[in-house]
Amino acid sequence: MIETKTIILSVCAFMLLCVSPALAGLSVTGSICDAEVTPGQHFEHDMIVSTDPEDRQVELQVDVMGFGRNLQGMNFEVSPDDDTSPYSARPFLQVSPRNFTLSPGSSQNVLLEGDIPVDIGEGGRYALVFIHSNVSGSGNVGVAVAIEVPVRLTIAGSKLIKTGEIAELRLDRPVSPEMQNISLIFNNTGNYNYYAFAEAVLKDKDGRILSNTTTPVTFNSILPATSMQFDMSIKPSTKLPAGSYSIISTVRMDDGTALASDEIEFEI
Amino acid sequence: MKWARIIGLVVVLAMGMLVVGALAVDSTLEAKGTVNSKITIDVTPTSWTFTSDPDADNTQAASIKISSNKAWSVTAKDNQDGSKPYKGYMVLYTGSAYGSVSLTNPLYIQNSGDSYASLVSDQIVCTGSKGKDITNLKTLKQTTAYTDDPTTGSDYYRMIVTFTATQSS
Repeated sequence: MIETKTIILSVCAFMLLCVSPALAGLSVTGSICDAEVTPGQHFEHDMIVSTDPEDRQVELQVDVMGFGRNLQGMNFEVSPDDDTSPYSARPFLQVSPRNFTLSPGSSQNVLLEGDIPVDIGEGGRYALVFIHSNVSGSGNVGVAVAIEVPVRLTIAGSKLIKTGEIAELRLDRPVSPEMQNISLIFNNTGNYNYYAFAEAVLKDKDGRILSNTTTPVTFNSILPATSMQFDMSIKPSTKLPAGSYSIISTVRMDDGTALASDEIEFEI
Repeated sequence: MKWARIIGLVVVLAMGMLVVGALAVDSTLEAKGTVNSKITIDVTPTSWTFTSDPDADNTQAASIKISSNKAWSVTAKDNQDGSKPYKGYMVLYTGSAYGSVSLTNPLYIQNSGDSYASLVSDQIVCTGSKGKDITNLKTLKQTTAYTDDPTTGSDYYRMIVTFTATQSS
Protein backbone atom coordinates (compact mmCIF):
# COMPACT_ATOMS: atom_id res chain seq x y z
CA MET A 1 0.00 0.00 0.00
CA ILE A 2 1.56 3.30 -1.03
CA GLU A 3 1.65 5.76 1.81
CA THR A 4 -0.42 8.93 1.45
CA LYS A 5 2.67 11.03 2.19
CA THR A 6 4.52 9.48 -0.76
CA ILE A 7 1.61 10.15 -3.09
CA ILE A 8 1.37 13.80 -1.97
CA LEU A 9 5.13 14.36 -2.44
CA SER A 10 5.03 12.79 -5.89
CA VAL A 11 2.11 14.95 -6.97
CA CYS A 12 3.82 18.06 -5.64
CA ALA A 13 7.04 17.21 -7.51
CA PHE A 14 5.07 16.62 -10.70
CA MET A 15 3.20 19.93 -10.31
CA LEU A 16 6.48 21.73 -9.70
CA LEU A 17 7.88 20.31 -12.93
CA CYS A 18 4.76 21.41 -14.81
CA VAL A 19 4.84 24.99 -13.55
CA SER A 20 8.62 25.55 -13.47
CA PRO A 21 9.44 28.80 -15.30
CA ALA A 22 10.94 28.05 -18.70
CA LEU A 23 11.24 31.53 -20.31
CA ALA A 24 14.09 34.00 -20.35
CA GLY A 25 11.88 37.08 -20.04
CA LEU A 26 12.08 40.73 -19.07
CA SER A 27 9.79 43.72 -19.17
CA VAL A 28 10.38 47.47 -18.72
CA THR A 29 7.74 50.15 -18.20
CA GLY A 30 9.11 53.59 -18.93
CA SER A 31 11.08 52.01 -21.76
CA ILE A 32 11.71 55.32 -23.54
CA CYS A 33 12.95 58.47 -21.83
CA ASP A 34 12.08 61.53 -23.92
CA ALA A 35 12.21 64.77 -21.97
CA GLU A 36 12.79 68.50 -22.23
CA VAL A 37 15.29 69.72 -19.64
CA THR A 38 16.77 73.04 -18.57
CA PRO A 39 20.32 73.86 -17.48
CA GLY A 40 20.76 73.25 -13.74
CA GLN A 41 17.62 71.12 -13.48
CA HIS A 42 17.53 67.91 -11.44
CA PHE A 43 16.10 65.35 -13.84
CA GLU A 44 14.39 62.05 -12.99
CA HIS A 45 12.87 59.22 -15.01
CA ASP A 46 11.14 56.24 -13.38
CA MET A 47 11.27 52.74 -14.80
CA ILE A 48 9.69 49.52 -13.61
CA VAL A 49 11.61 46.34 -14.44
CA SER A 50 9.57 43.15 -14.10
CA THR A 51 9.23 39.49 -14.97
CA ASP A 52 6.20 37.34 -15.70
CA PRO A 53 5.21 34.42 -13.45
CA GLU A 54 6.43 32.00 -16.12
CA ASP A 55 9.88 33.62 -16.38
CA ARG A 56 12.96 32.39 -14.58
CA GLN A 57 14.44 34.14 -11.58
CA VAL A 58 16.98 36.55 -12.98
CA GLU A 59 19.85 38.66 -11.67
CA LEU A 60 19.94 42.01 -13.38
CA GLN A 61 22.44 44.79 -13.84
CA VAL A 62 21.55 48.31 -14.99
CA ASP A 63 24.17 50.53 -16.63
CA VAL A 64 24.03 54.02 -18.14
CA MET A 65 26.01 53.81 -21.36
CA GLY A 66 26.90 56.08 -24.22
CA PHE A 67 24.39 55.94 -27.08
CA GLY A 68 25.97 54.42 -30.17
CA ARG A 69 24.32 53.86 -33.57
CA ASN A 70 26.01 52.02 -36.40
CA LEU A 71 25.62 52.65 -40.12
CA GLN A 72 22.58 50.35 -40.20
CA GLY A 73 20.89 52.41 -37.48
CA MET A 74 21.35 49.70 -34.86
CA ASN A 75 21.94 50.75 -31.25
CA PHE A 76 25.07 49.71 -29.41
CA GLU A 77 26.24 50.53 -25.92
CA VAL A 78 29.32 52.73 -25.73
CA SER A 79 31.50 52.16 -22.69
CA PRO A 80 32.41 55.21 -20.57
CA ASP A 81 36.01 55.01 -21.80
CA ASP A 82 34.93 55.20 -25.43
CA ASP A 83 32.06 57.66 -24.97
CA THR A 84 33.54 60.87 -26.36
CA SER A 85 30.45 62.27 -28.08
CA PRO A 86 29.82 65.95 -27.25
CA TYR A 87 26.10 65.05 -27.23
CA SER A 88 26.32 62.35 -24.59
CA ALA A 89 24.10 62.59 -21.49
CA ARG A 90 25.89 59.65 -19.84
CA PRO A 91 28.38 61.71 -17.79
CA PHE A 92 25.66 63.34 -15.71
CA LEU A 93 23.18 60.46 -15.36
CA GLN A 94 23.09 57.58 -12.89
CA VAL A 95 20.66 54.77 -12.02
CA SER A 96 19.66 53.12 -8.78
CA PRO A 97 19.60 50.38 -7.89
CA ARG A 98 22.23 49.03 -10.28
CA ASN A 99 21.98 45.37 -9.28
CA PHE A 100 19.00 43.33 -8.12
CA THR A 101 17.35 39.95 -8.43
CA LEU A 102 13.83 39.42 -9.72
CA SER A 103 11.90 36.28 -8.88
CA PRO A 104 9.16 35.17 -11.31
CA GLY A 105 6.26 37.62 -11.40
CA SER A 106 8.00 40.38 -9.45
CA SER A 107 9.08 43.94 -10.20
CA GLN A 108 11.66 46.53 -9.19
CA ASN A 109 11.48 50.32 -9.50
CA VAL A 110 14.62 51.80 -11.04
CA LEU A 111 15.32 55.52 -10.98
CA LEU A 112 17.36 57.29 -13.65
CA GLU A 113 18.42 60.74 -12.45
CA GLY A 114 20.98 63.45 -12.88
CA ASP A 115 21.75 67.15 -12.64
CA ILE A 116 21.78 68.91 -16.00
CA PRO A 117 25.00 70.96 -16.19
CA VAL A 118 24.38 74.71 -16.19
CA ASP A 119 26.67 75.03 -19.24
CA ILE A 120 25.06 72.09 -21.10
CA GLY A 121 24.84 74.00 -24.36
CA GLU A 122 22.22 73.52 -27.05
CA GLY A 123 20.46 70.76 -28.90
CA GLY A 124 19.98 67.18 -27.70
CA ARG A 125 21.76 64.90 -25.25
CA TYR A 126 21.59 61.13 -25.44
CA ALA A 127 22.32 57.97 -23.47
CA LEU A 128 21.29 54.30 -23.28
CA VAL A 129 20.13 52.62 -20.10
CA PHE A 130 21.15 48.99 -20.55
CA ILE A 131 19.19 46.54 -18.40
CA HIS A 132 20.69 43.07 -18.82
CA SER A 133 20.38 39.67 -17.21
CA ASN A 134 22.95 37.17 -16.14
CA VAL A 135 23.47 34.16 -18.33
CA SER A 136 21.05 31.27 -18.01
CA GLY A 137 21.10 27.70 -19.15
CA SER A 138 23.91 25.20 -18.89
CA GLY A 139 23.91 23.96 -22.48
CA ASN A 140 26.32 24.64 -25.31
CA VAL A 141 24.41 27.82 -26.13
CA GLY A 142 22.83 29.79 -23.28
CA VAL A 143 20.44 32.73 -23.52
CA ALA A 144 20.46 36.10 -21.80
CA VAL A 145 17.91 38.86 -22.37
CA ALA A 146 18.32 42.61 -22.18
CA ILE A 147 16.36 45.79 -22.80
CA GLU A 148 17.79 49.13 -23.88
CA VAL A 149 16.01 52.27 -22.75
CA PRO A 150 16.91 55.14 -25.11
CA VAL A 151 17.36 58.48 -23.34
CA ARG A 152 16.77 61.61 -25.45
CA LEU A 153 16.94 64.96 -23.70
CA THR A 154 16.10 68.21 -25.44
CA ILE A 155 17.65 71.35 -23.99
CA ALA A 156 14.62 73.63 -23.63
CA GLY A 157 14.73 76.92 -25.49
CA SER A 158 17.95 76.04 -27.27
CA LYS A 159 18.60 76.14 -30.99
CA LEU A 160 17.93 72.73 -32.50
CA ILE A 161 20.15 72.37 -35.56
CA LYS A 162 19.04 69.72 -38.04
CA THR A 163 21.62 69.56 -40.78
CA GLY A 164 23.50 66.86 -42.63
CA GLU A 165 25.84 66.00 -45.46
CA ILE A 166 26.36 63.12 -47.86
CA ALA A 167 29.88 61.93 -47.06
CA GLU A 168 30.01 59.26 -49.73
CA LEU A 169 27.88 58.29 -52.73
CA ARG A 170 28.82 55.02 -54.40
CA LEU A 171 27.51 53.17 -57.46
CA ASP A 172 28.15 49.43 -57.78
CA ARG A 173 30.41 48.86 -60.75
CA PRO A 174 30.35 47.53 -63.41
CA VAL A 175 27.03 49.29 -63.81
CA SER A 176 24.19 47.14 -65.07
CA PRO A 177 21.88 48.64 -67.72
CA GLU A 178 18.97 46.84 -66.04
CA MET A 179 19.44 47.89 -62.42
CA GLN A 180 21.73 50.36 -60.71
CA ASN A 181 22.66 49.80 -57.05
CA ILE A 182 23.80 52.78 -55.06
CA SER A 183 24.68 53.38 -51.45
CA LEU A 184 25.38 56.57 -49.61
CA ILE A 185 26.78 57.46 -46.22
CA PHE A 186 25.00 60.36 -44.57
CA ASN A 187 26.33 62.32 -41.59
CA ASN A 188 24.16 64.21 -39.12
CA THR A 189 26.16 67.45 -38.74
CA GLY A 190 23.64 69.17 -36.49
CA ASN A 191 23.07 69.04 -32.75
CA TYR A 192 19.77 67.17 -32.72
CA ASN A 193 18.33 63.85 -33.87
CA TYR A 194 15.86 63.42 -36.71
CA TYR A 195 14.30 60.68 -38.85
CA ALA A 196 15.21 60.69 -42.54
CA PHE A 197 14.87 58.90 -45.84
CA ALA A 198 16.83 58.90 -49.08
CA GLU A 199 15.73 59.13 -52.68
CA ALA A 200 17.54 58.61 -55.96
CA VAL A 201 16.58 59.88 -59.41
CA LEU A 202 18.03 58.46 -62.62
CA LYS A 203 18.40 60.93 -65.51
CA ASP A 204 19.71 60.70 -69.04
CA LYS A 205 22.21 63.14 -70.52
CA ASP A 206 19.40 65.53 -71.42
CA GLY A 207 18.12 65.62 -67.85
CA ARG A 208 15.04 63.50 -68.53
CA ILE A 209 13.93 61.47 -65.50
CA LEU A 210 14.00 57.77 -66.34
CA SER A 211 13.29 56.22 -62.95
CA ASN A 212 13.46 56.91 -59.23
CA THR A 213 13.35 55.15 -55.88
CA THR A 214 12.87 56.06 -52.24
CA THR A 215 13.87 54.31 -49.04
CA PRO A 216 11.50 53.98 -46.08
CA VAL A 217 11.98 56.47 -43.26
CA THR A 218 14.72 55.27 -40.92
CA PHE A 219 13.53 52.96 -38.14
CA ASN A 220 15.58 54.96 -35.63
CA SER A 221 16.38 58.64 -35.79
CA ILE A 222 19.89 59.67 -36.81
CA LEU A 223 21.71 61.01 -33.76
CA PRO A 224 24.01 64.04 -34.02
CA ALA A 225 27.62 63.17 -34.82
CA THR A 226 26.58 59.76 -36.21
CA SER A 227 26.23 58.39 -39.72
CA MET A 228 23.65 56.32 -41.55
CA GLN A 229 24.00 54.20 -44.70
CA PHE A 230 21.21 54.18 -47.25
CA ASP A 231 21.15 51.45 -49.94
CA MET A 232 18.95 51.84 -53.02
CA SER A 233 18.32 50.05 -56.29
CA ILE A 234 16.97 51.80 -59.36
CA LYS A 235 15.25 49.65 -61.96
CA PRO A 236 14.46 51.53 -65.18
CA SER A 237 11.37 50.33 -67.03
CA THR A 238 13.57 49.42 -70.01
CA LYS A 239 17.19 48.38 -70.24
CA LEU A 240 19.39 51.48 -70.55
CA PRO A 241 20.89 51.89 -74.02
CA ALA A 242 24.50 52.96 -74.41
CA GLY A 243 25.00 56.53 -73.29
CA SER A 244 25.69 58.89 -70.39
CA TYR A 245 23.53 58.97 -67.28
CA SER A 246 23.46 60.46 -63.81
CA ILE A 247 21.88 59.62 -60.48
CA ILE A 248 20.97 62.44 -58.12
CA SER A 249 20.55 61.30 -54.56
CA THR A 250 18.90 63.38 -51.83
CA VAL A 251 18.47 62.77 -48.12
CA ARG A 252 15.39 64.36 -46.55
CA MET A 253 13.95 64.60 -43.07
CA ASP A 254 10.76 62.65 -42.53
CA ASP A 255 8.78 65.85 -43.16
CA GLY A 256 10.33 66.13 -46.64
CA THR A 257 12.85 68.89 -45.86
CA ALA A 258 15.94 68.35 -47.99
CA LEU A 259 19.14 67.94 -46.01
CA ALA A 260 21.76 67.12 -48.65
CA SER A 261 22.11 66.11 -52.30
CA ASP A 262 24.85 64.60 -54.42
CA GLU A 263 25.21 63.36 -57.97
CA ILE A 264 27.11 60.54 -59.62
CA GLU A 265 27.57 60.00 -63.36
CA PHE A 266 28.11 56.79 -65.28
CA GLU A 267 28.31 55.39 -68.78
CA ILE A 268 26.60 52.37 -70.26
CA MET B 1 -59.51 81.91 -3.32
CA LYS B 2 -59.42 81.46 -7.01
CA TRP B 3 -56.67 84.04 -7.31
CA ALA B 4 -54.73 82.35 -4.52
CA ARG B 5 -54.84 79.10 -6.43
CA ILE B 6 -53.70 80.77 -9.62
CA ILE B 7 -50.83 82.55 -7.86
CA GLY B 8 -49.88 79.32 -6.14
CA LEU B 9 -49.91 77.49 -9.48
CA VAL B 10 -47.75 80.18 -11.05
CA VAL B 11 -45.25 79.96 -8.17
CA VAL B 12 -45.10 76.19 -8.47
CA LEU B 13 -44.63 76.44 -12.21
CA ALA B 14 -41.90 79.03 -11.79
CA MET B 15 -40.11 76.89 -9.25
CA GLY B 16 -40.41 73.94 -11.55
CA MET B 17 -38.88 75.89 -14.41
CA LEU B 18 -36.02 76.92 -12.17
CA VAL B 19 -35.38 73.28 -11.27
CA VAL B 20 -35.59 72.21 -14.87
CA GLY B 21 -33.33 75.13 -15.80
CA ALA B 22 -30.79 74.06 -13.20
CA LEU B 23 -30.89 70.49 -14.46
CA ALA B 24 -30.44 71.70 -18.02
CA VAL B 25 -27.14 73.60 -17.34
CA ASP B 26 -24.28 71.88 -19.10
CA SER B 27 -21.48 70.44 -16.97
CA THR B 28 -18.39 68.78 -18.27
CA LEU B 29 -16.00 66.18 -17.02
CA GLU B 30 -12.53 66.22 -18.55
CA ALA B 31 -10.93 62.79 -18.81
CA LYS B 32 -7.12 62.92 -18.90
CA GLY B 33 -4.75 60.00 -18.98
CA THR B 34 -1.17 59.15 -19.86
CA VAL B 35 0.15 55.87 -21.22
CA ASN B 36 3.60 54.61 -20.29
CA SER B 37 6.00 53.22 -22.83
CA LYS B 38 6.51 49.51 -22.24
CA ILE B 39 8.34 46.64 -23.88
CA THR B 40 8.52 42.95 -22.97
CA ILE B 41 10.79 40.26 -24.38
CA ASP B 42 10.55 36.52 -23.84
CA VAL B 43 12.91 34.00 -25.41
CA THR B 44 12.65 30.22 -25.45
CA PRO B 45 14.44 27.92 -25.09
CA THR B 46 16.86 29.29 -22.51
CA SER B 47 19.62 26.91 -23.56
CA TRP B 48 20.57 24.59 -26.40
CA THR B 49 22.65 21.44 -26.04
CA PHE B 50 23.82 19.36 -28.97
CA THR B 51 26.12 16.41 -29.61
CA SER B 52 27.57 16.50 -33.07
CA ASP B 53 29.78 14.63 -35.47
CA PRO B 54 32.26 16.78 -37.38
CA ASP B 55 31.10 18.27 -40.67
CA ALA B 56 27.47 18.57 -39.59
CA ASP B 57 24.84 21.31 -39.35
CA ASN B 58 23.26 21.62 -35.90
CA THR B 59 20.17 23.82 -35.66
CA GLN B 60 17.84 25.06 -32.97
CA ALA B 61 14.75 27.24 -33.39
CA ALA B 62 14.40 30.08 -30.92
CA SER B 63 11.08 31.76 -30.23
CA ILE B 64 11.29 35.49 -29.55
CA LYS B 65 8.07 37.04 -28.27
CA ILE B 66 7.64 40.82 -28.02
CA SER B 67 4.96 43.08 -26.62
CA SER B 68 5.58 46.76 -27.24
CA ASN B 69 3.53 49.93 -27.64
CA LYS B 70 6.03 51.40 -30.08
CA ALA B 71 7.88 50.00 -33.10
CA TRP B 72 10.60 47.71 -31.82
CA SER B 73 13.70 45.74 -32.78
CA VAL B 74 15.63 42.81 -31.32
CA THR B 75 19.34 42.28 -31.79
CA ALA B 76 21.37 39.18 -31.00
CA LYS B 77 24.99 39.21 -30.01
CA ASP B 78 27.71 37.07 -28.46
CA ASN B 79 27.58 37.98 -24.76
CA GLN B 80 31.34 37.29 -24.41
CA ASP B 81 30.79 36.52 -20.72
CA GLY B 82 33.82 35.78 -18.60
CA SER B 83 36.16 37.45 -21.11
CA LYS B 84 35.29 34.86 -23.73
CA PRO B 85 37.60 35.26 -26.72
CA TYR B 86 36.77 34.97 -30.44
CA LYS B 87 33.52 36.91 -30.75
CA GLY B 88 30.92 34.93 -32.65
CA TYR B 89 32.59 31.54 -32.14
CA MET B 90 31.75 28.83 -29.62
CA VAL B 91 34.81 28.35 -27.40
CA LEU B 92 35.92 25.35 -25.37
CA TYR B 93 34.70 25.70 -21.78
CA THR B 94 35.88 23.72 -18.76
CA GLY B 95 32.77 24.38 -16.72
CA SER B 96 34.25 27.41 -15.00
CA ALA B 97 36.35 29.20 -17.61
CA TYR B 98 36.87 29.56 -21.34
CA GLY B 99 40.01 28.22 -22.97
CA SER B 100 41.66 29.38 -26.15
CA VAL B 101 40.21 26.84 -28.59
CA SER B 102 37.16 27.64 -30.69
CA LEU B 103 35.11 25.87 -33.31
CA THR B 104 36.20 26.52 -36.88
CA ASN B 105 32.90 28.07 -37.94
CA PRO B 106 31.04 30.87 -36.16
CA LEU B 107 27.54 30.48 -34.75
CA TYR B 108 24.90 31.74 -37.16
CA ILE B 109 21.42 33.12 -36.54
CA GLN B 110 18.65 34.09 -38.94
CA ASN B 111 18.55 37.86 -39.24
CA SER B 112 15.57 40.11 -39.91
CA GLY B 113 15.63 39.03 -43.58
CA ASP B 114 15.73 35.36 -42.50
CA SER B 115 19.22 34.93 -43.99
CA TYR B 116 21.84 33.30 -41.80
CA ALA B 117 24.28 35.83 -40.41
CA SER B 118 27.22 35.10 -38.13
CA LEU B 119 27.43 36.41 -34.59
CA VAL B 120 30.91 37.73 -35.29
CA SER B 121 28.86 40.92 -35.69
CA ASP B 122 25.76 41.89 -33.72
CA GLN B 123 22.66 41.08 -35.78
CA ILE B 124 19.18 42.58 -36.00
CA VAL B 125 17.04 39.44 -35.85
CA CYS B 126 13.56 40.91 -35.96
CA THR B 127 11.69 44.20 -36.03
CA GLY B 128 8.02 45.05 -35.86
CA SER B 129 5.23 47.51 -35.25
CA LYS B 130 3.56 47.98 -31.88
CA GLY B 131 1.44 45.10 -30.66
CA LYS B 132 1.08 42.36 -28.07
CA ASP B 133 2.62 38.85 -28.01
CA ILE B 134 4.27 39.13 -31.43
CA THR B 135 6.22 35.92 -31.95
CA ASN B 136 9.18 35.44 -34.27
CA LEU B 137 10.97 32.15 -34.87
CA LYS B 138 14.67 32.40 -35.63
CA THR B 139 16.99 29.46 -36.13
CA LEU B 140 20.48 29.20 -34.70
CA LYS B 141 22.95 27.14 -36.72
CA GLN B 142 26.32 25.74 -35.76
CA THR B 143 28.29 23.90 -38.44
CA THR B 144 31.04 21.63 -37.18
CA ALA B 145 34.15 20.66 -39.12
CA TYR B 146 36.90 18.09 -39.16
CA THR B 147 39.22 20.90 -38.06
CA ASP B 148 37.35 21.13 -34.73
CA ASP B 149 39.08 19.59 -31.72
CA PRO B 150 36.89 16.89 -30.17
CA THR B 151 35.79 17.55 -26.59
CA THR B 152 37.07 15.42 -23.75
CA GLY B 153 35.74 14.72 -20.27
CA SER B 154 33.16 17.27 -19.21
CA ASP B 155 34.48 20.10 -21.41
CA TYR B 156 32.16 21.55 -24.03
CA TYR B 157 32.05 24.36 -26.55
CA ARG B 158 29.99 27.27 -25.27
CA MET B 159 28.53 30.67 -26.09
CA ILE B 160 25.90 32.86 -24.45
CA VAL B 161 23.68 34.76 -26.87
CA THR B 162 22.10 37.97 -25.57
CA PHE B 163 18.82 39.07 -27.15
CA THR B 164 18.29 42.82 -26.65
CA ALA B 165 14.97 44.52 -27.28
CA THR B 166 14.47 48.23 -27.73
CA GLN B 167 11.83 50.62 -29.01
CA SER B 168 12.27 52.88 -31.99
CA SER B 169 13.86 56.20 -31.05
